[in-house]
Amino acid sequence: MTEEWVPAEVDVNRPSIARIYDYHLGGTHNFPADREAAAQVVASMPELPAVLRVNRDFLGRCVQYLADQGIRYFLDLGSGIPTNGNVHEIAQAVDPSARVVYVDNDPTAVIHARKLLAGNDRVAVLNADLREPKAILDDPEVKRLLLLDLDEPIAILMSAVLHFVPDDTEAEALVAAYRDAMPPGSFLAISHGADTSEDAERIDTAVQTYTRAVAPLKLRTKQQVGAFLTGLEIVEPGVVHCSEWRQAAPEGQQLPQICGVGRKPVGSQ
Amino acid sequence: MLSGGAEFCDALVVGFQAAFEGGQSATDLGRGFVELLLHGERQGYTSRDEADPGDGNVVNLLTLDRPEYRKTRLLLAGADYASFMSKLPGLDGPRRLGAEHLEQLAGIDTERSVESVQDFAEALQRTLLPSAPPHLDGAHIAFRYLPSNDVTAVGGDWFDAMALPGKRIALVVGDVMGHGVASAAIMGQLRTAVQTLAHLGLPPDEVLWELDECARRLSDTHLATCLYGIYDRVTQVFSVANAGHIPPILAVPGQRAALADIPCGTPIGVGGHGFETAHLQIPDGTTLVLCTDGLVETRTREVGEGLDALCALVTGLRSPLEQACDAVVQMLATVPRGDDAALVMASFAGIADDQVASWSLEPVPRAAGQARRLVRRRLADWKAGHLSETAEALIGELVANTCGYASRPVTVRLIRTETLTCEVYDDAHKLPARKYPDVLSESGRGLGVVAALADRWGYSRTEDGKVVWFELDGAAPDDGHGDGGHDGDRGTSPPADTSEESGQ
Repeated sequence: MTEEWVPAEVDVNRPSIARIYDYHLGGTHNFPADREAAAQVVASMPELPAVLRVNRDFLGRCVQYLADQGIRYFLDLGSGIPTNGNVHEIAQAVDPSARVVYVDNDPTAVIHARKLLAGNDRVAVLNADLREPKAILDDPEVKRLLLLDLDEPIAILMSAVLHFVPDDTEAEALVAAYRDAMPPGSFLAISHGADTSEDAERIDTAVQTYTRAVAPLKLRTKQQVGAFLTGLEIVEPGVVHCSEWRQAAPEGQQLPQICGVGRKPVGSQ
Repeated sequence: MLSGGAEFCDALVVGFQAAFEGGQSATDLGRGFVELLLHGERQGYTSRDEADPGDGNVVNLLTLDRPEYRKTRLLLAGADYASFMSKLPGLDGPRRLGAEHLEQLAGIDTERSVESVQDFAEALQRTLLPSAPPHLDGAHIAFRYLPSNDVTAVGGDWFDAMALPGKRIALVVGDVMGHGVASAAIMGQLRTAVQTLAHLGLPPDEVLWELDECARRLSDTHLATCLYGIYDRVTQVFSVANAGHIPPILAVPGQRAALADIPCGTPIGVGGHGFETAHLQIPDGTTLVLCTDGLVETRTREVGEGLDALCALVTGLRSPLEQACDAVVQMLATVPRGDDAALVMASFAGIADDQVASWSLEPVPRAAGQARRLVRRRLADWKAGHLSETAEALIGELVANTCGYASRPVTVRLIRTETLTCEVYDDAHKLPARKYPDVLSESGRGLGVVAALADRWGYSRTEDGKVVWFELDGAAPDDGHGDGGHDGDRGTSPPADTSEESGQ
């Protein structure tokens, strides 16, 4: 690949979560440092690329479901570098007037997303950190596109991102802030690296490798992920492995990525 | 009785001036003058050269050189008199002599009436330039124009400041190359063109491109340099394009003032070259300084040296702009000047983010209701509920107007300063037409309502379509009625309104 697209503010020598994700999904927006880190991680956890693909597939089915439920405003937190089957493509296939705001704290992801999305009036990309809910929800571009002041239902997507917030208290507080801000009827969709008891030692090694090579990683249990949806009506089939969510689960052992979608009851604040 | 030549000459001049003031054409004036001369001849006068003294019955046309006949001399020159006379058939004897005198006169006029031409050119230039800094919301603008001290060198410098829709302010400074009445006249034409182009809502590079096209249609002998920029109070960005002019100087607090690094562009009148718009972030408290080369370049000082001096003078500026202008003029402008000089200083007040709201709405009927709800909530937050009723109604009209015309989302923007500015942007290029609906018509009333209820309104083209805007006065925080006025209750329970509106 050529690397002419590299913006000045991007440090190509430090691996980036978004670019590693892109590499695992077969994208071309990554550098030697990313590929090296990815190789280290994959060595300790060979199923990771498959996990990410399963996660991506879940996101696709989830957005389709939400659009079918009438949701037209999507806030995708930690969106990464847009790959095939973007949120806006799925949502706008259902209704061309659907709006999506992508949020990522990685400048590479933001620059690429902006390039890919130029000319789409109903999509915006915000360079911000999901750990600052107020800044994101008060952002003029978010308010402009998602019309938050109208109190019409929205969907907040946190796909494979909360496991990069290792502190449980912080993770719970920030998810609560988004939940509280959602108008009634809104959905919160979460997918998360699963802390399964099987093969605990190997997983632990993989997490340490990831933490060392890329970024701190914290896997969580189904119960912990379910707690992020507190106060919401959990959409069937509940908090499950990503591959089991609203499709026939494939045979054999499930990949360690879990998900859940909750709807804020109408009549609640 | 024959009287003296001087008296006859007086009579002749009086007759000539009367004819001029009666509005006669140059040709008629010329013919009339010849008739007066022939009349004098019949009376026994001859006209002859001073160098050929005669018998006393001489109309000494050179008497016209007396100061009180200055105006007549000018008129004669202006009528291109001698040229007319020389074309008359059968000129001989005294008449031919008269023609020669007049040719001489025209020559004398050219030499000696320069002072008057100077008066005229200066008057022309004064008429073509703004006479006082305009009062623009959110901007302080001071300017100075210094005419050349060289009597033949009236210049073509100009400048302008104007308010554009959307809380934007346009600044122009330009310089028609060369001197003289023609330069001043071209300047006036270019100034008018820039004003017109600015109000069409064109971005700076396109204004200069169109100005270039226009200038080449007007004259193929004049070049001009021009700088055109738009300051946007919301984004606090100065977008500027340059046609070979001195770039703006930015005096940012705490920094050394410096020329902005923007693409230079070719002068107006060259043609065939595009211009580029540069976007400069203008921090609060910045003074923008624009000038023409006459201010910084003198017979003994290079442009670069003068600009360095100007930058030094406006670094760390604390005094009000008017005084700062005086100080710069005093320090930089040399007397006598060979060129005219213009100086413009501007400082702006940006609008804080929380005084601006914008929403992207689909161009569908329900958007009007959405817009009304969004406006109501925002005005309640701003404690400007007293404007809500009118603002909601008018915004609703404008958003509804986009249905069926716009294909992409419509942007509604509110800006709150001393006034409330409401804008609706859409991608339809068709400009609104104010219709005159008949009594029973159910549509076509929108803009009439806007015109009736808004303090100001208008529309202009944008890059992607158009914007229709209106303003309501009385939006400053202390204009509000504290509790949100008679609409205050709406601010405290906004969700209650949703059901009422959602059916619309």
